[in-house]
Amino acid sequence: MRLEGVLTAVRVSAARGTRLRTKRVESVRVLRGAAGIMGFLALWELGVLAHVPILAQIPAPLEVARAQWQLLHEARYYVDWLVSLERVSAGFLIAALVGIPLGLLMGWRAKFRYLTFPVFEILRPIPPLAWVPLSIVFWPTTESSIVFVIFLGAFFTVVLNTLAGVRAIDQRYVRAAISLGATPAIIFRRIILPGALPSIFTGLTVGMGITWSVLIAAEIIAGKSGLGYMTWEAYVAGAFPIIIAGMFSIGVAGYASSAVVRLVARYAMPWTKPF
Amino acid sequence: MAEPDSHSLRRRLRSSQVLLGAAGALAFVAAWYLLVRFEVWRFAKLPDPLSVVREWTARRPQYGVSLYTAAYYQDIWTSTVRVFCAFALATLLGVPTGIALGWSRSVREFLFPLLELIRPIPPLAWVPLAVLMLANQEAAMIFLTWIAAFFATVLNTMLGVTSIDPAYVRAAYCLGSRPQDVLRHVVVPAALPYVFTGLQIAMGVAWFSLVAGEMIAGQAGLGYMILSAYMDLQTTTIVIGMVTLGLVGFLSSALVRWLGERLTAWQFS
Amino acid sequence: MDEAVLAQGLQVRSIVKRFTGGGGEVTVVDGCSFSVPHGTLSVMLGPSGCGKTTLVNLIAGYEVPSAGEILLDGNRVRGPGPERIVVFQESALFPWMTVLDNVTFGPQSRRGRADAALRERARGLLAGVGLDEFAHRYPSQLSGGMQRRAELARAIVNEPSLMLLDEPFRGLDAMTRELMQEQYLQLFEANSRTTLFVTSELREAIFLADRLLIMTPRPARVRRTIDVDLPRPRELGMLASARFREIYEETLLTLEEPTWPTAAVS
Repeated sequence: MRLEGVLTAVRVSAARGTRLRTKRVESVRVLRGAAGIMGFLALWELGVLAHVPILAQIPAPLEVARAQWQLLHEARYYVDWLVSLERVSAGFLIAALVGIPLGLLMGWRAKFRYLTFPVFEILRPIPPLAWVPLSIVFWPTTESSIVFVIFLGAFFTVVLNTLAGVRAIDQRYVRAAISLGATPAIIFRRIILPGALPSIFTGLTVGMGITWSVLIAAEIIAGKSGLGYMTWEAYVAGAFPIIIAGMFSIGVAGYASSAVVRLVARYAMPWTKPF
Repeated sequence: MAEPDSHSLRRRLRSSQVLLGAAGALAFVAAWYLLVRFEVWRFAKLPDPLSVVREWTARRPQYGVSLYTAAYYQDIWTSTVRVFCAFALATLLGVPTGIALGWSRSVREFLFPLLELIRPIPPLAWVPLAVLMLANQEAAMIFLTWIAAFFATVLNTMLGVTSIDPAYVRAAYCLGSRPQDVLRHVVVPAALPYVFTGLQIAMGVAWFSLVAGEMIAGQAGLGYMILSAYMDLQTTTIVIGMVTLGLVGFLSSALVRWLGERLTAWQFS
Repeated sequence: MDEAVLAQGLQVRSIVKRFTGGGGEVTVVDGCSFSVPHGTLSVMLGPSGCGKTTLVNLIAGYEVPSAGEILLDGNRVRGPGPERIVVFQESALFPWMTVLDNVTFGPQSRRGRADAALRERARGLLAGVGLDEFAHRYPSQLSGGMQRRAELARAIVNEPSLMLLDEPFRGLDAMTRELMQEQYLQLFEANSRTTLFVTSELREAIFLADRLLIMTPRPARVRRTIDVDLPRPRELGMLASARFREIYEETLLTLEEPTWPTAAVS
């Protein structure tokens, strides 16, 4: 005990030293990263000014910044944000609500897995966007067809990651639980579910990324609003700086929603937090 | 929960697995057929599986696309060529970039934040820009397909290089290797499994973006075939296109996996 | 001794275990018989790979013997149950539960609810193994030795009729291991649960045991039983006693003795 205490103390003080050093290294890293980004922007601006072949067609970063600034003063821009966020949230939440229980069941019950897995393997390689036309034909409103395609984009990833998470749970935990007298219901709730959570959240994070990609295309093909539609409309109208401002907005939206998923993951799995 | 410990039991399990899988697939097709035939809700708007198969295998298809028409193979060929061009470009540019990012800390510190800034932009948000930037239709399609595949390749290669056990590198230096030898004989082979994971993902996202690109801005290829069938309300042809996409996508992923397993055989011995 | 006393504790009677796989049948345990009297600690000692873990799995009920029977307090073992708790060589603490939740998991699973009394008892046990302040930590935040102790507490809290410990201290560094042996003994001497302890470490075996069960190489059988009459409570100082050395040498001789017919071939 006492020995372990001393070891812990040594470890803590060593960690403190590293942290000081890390701070200095960190600032160098930030500077270098900023230099990389600034260099990229400068090359781009110069390329446009100098009429370098491919770059000549696109707006320069300063123009884009101006367009973005203008967008920030328009009400429609925020409406587009809201519409896109609504669609993504709806499709993503349905995918999670249907996909996680399905994946858990497939992992937990071998017979159910054997029964359903081949169907998944047949449907999965079809790119989600290939579903757009059929989805428009099938669903009564454009809105529901867009949400359906978004749902599909995240659904397979969520199911397969959940399934893999359940399958990867070490058998010794299940054995230990059985030997401690746990019933199947308790094993499911206290072993299988938390044991699969890390993999479930991996699936949700990846699914969230796919979701935004699908949304953009679905809005271009079938929508009349949203960030993806805004970008496409800017292209059609020849308002080229808005295209890149739109891409930037979509990037921010995608990044922010992934960050939300990661935040929820940290809250839901306190045991994976570094200490 | 105990593992089955006898061979015959395992064999019996496997055969029941095949049977159940077949039953599941059959139930799926049957449900599809019945929902369409009995016009449950809006299913009446979809084609049933039998008419899809009939159209697909018809010598004279009603809507112009079947296994016997040249147009079908032209679309498959166009899309496949685009995907493989983009995939080859992604590999040629992505693997060296990934190795450089993983191998040199300064390269990583200068370029990685830029990469992270661009990466959250979904590949499909590039569609308008790609069309604008590259006047050539074919080049725009390939660029779109390339961009998603490129990021997947770069990130996985970098991850592969950074997760190499430093002991291998140190051992190689101790044995008197020069840096270029270490790169060639230690870093590259050790990162190879990750590279192939990246390439597999790349192949998946390549098809994913190509379909969208072809649907939005294409004039040929499987994505375009699906969209034009939609414009003409030929739902049977839409399903043929979807199934074909699934098959071609599956086969190309299988090809990458097979190559990966052959080239990283030391992992499985 | 009368019938009633004999029926208490663990009795393993002519157990045979065969596995079918690969190119044919392998007999891992062949006619193994022994008993662990109620409230005592027997140590199973044998070369690695001799089938000790298979025997533990059979007694725990994870596997079914091909022949023979296992009785615990007179009842035949049929499948896993909370009256027989196994502590494996790798940690099986649930990583997603705090140490306290891990300890209360068993009783709570069987009763459906964790009451204040149970939490109190769990905390008492944790204090007993020096983990009082760590009750609300997660297993990954503990050292290897602490994890082992938490696991022992999680087993003891169920008041099992039989504790099965399968090389529980393997993989710990020598100092921690010695510390663990001493702490474990305190725990055993305070609770006296019937215990079967598996190890391949000779000193550990003698230090802990009331009785040594020395196994043959595969297929496993008990080659010899040695009673360890060192007084309890024991402390590390006894490792230097003359009696300890006597038993040590006797055990070593038995382990080195060739076995027929295996030795004749080699």
